[in-house]
Amino acid sequence: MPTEDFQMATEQLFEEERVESLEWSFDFTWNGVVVDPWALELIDKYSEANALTGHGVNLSPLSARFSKRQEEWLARAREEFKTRKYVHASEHFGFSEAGPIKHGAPLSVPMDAASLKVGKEMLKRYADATGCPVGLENLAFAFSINDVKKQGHFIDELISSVNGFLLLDLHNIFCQIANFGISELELLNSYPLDKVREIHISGGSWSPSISGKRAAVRRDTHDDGVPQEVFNLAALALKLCPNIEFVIFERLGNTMFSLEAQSEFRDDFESMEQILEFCYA
Amino acid sequence: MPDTLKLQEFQDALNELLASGKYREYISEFDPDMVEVARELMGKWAQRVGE
Repeated sequence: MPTEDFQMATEQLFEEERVESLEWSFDFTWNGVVVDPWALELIDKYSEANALTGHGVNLSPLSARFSKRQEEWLARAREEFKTRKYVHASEHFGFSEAGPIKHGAPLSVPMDAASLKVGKEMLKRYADATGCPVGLENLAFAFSINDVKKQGHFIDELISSVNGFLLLDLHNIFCQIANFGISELELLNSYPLDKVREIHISGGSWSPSISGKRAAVRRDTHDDGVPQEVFNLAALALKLCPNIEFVIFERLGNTMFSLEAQSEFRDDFESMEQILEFCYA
Repeated sequence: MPDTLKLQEFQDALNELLASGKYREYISEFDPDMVEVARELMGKWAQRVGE
């Protein structure tokens, strides 16, 4: 996130040239947000070095109705990908736009023929607009254990229609392991691991369980350090997924104002570097 | 042909309900904790058409 705290936390990493690739949520500025020059310079630098990946947030690829807003979103994406070079483009699994809501939280969908049809159509539009490989990120949110168990195969069917890739978010996997008691290997193996081209690493938080069915609910809030469980999942995923090209650290802006939090972020980055060295040595 | 109109109606009604401030077989599996997460997320992030 191009915020002041993120700049302070990462400046040293960029200066030491330890950041090999960058991901830009290219629709971040489409609501009128102004990005500081330091961030734009970085984005362009990584783009020119063929090391920039694009990540859409607001397309809502599994909305059943193709809206005017989505049509305009795709037109803006087309312009963005014409003017700036990206290696590939991803989006979140799920729908957020429907009824009276144009932006919301990405929610899971019934994994049936109707959802498959609208999802395939939207991915084709996305691939056409960006002119590069497109992929989907697994969703942390699930309405039920069946949502959790079906998501991997369903994403595989969707991305196969455009020869696309899976963006495997390991904190999202951790959320589902924590919330639904499924084993990490069972869950990881339900995904098309040979199609994983990128992984995301991040932290999150816990919120109370309203039902009392579990001690707490794990949430994908990106506002804290990376838990050890996610590092463990990263080491496992790097072994199981033969085609990973990008490892991306995510952190919500304005959540690292203390020097301690910024230092912890760099420590987490270093931990991931060590895991990569160990796995690929 | 898959019935995308029914899916549309379902998504419309679900979004509206979760953002209100308050597929039968699919819904019967919903975990109450996850419905609460969705309700909270929509309360925080939902932007209505025209806003």
